[in-house]
Amino acid sequence: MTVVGVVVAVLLALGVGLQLVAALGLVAMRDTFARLHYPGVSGFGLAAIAVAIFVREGFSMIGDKALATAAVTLLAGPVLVHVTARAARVRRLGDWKVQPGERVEEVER
Amino acid sequence: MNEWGVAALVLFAVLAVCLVLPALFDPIDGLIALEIAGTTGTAILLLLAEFVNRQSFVDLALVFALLSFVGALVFVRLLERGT
Repeated sequence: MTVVGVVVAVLLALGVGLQLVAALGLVAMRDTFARLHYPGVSGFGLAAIAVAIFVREGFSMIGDKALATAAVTLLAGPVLVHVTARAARVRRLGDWKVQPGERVEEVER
Repeated sequence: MNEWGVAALVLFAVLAVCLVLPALFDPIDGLIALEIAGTTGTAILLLLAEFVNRQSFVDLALVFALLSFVGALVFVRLLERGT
């Protein structure tokens, strides 16, 4: 097995493992905001798989597009998590802003 | 079957989890499952393009990544307003 083959296998295992961790977290966590941590994990799993394809194929049509797919997912992921958290607060409290009586921990300066 | 096909098969299990979960919990949790299913589906399409050795199939993964982002945003708007 060549060095490239080993790197590809490691990246592929890492990517699939991260996707499995994301599915496990989705099932195991108790509330919405705890579950919201896992789309990011899943996105990094996709990125590892895309880099594995890129390492195997180099700068070719499939390699470039795999990297482009990973870039799209990594840019879209935080946006999606943010708007989902905002929607969850709006559903629960009627507004995303801090509500009267809601305890907010002060940030130390 | 090589390692790409095996990886795609394992990811189908992840996809099955994301399909079952929305039936059990709150709709907003189903939305999170949809987001994870979007990235997992993209990964499956990438792996299958490499598995069947058709380079043009990777276009499907790129388009699916863009469309799943837009689709999830639409569901966010819907769930923010409705019940």
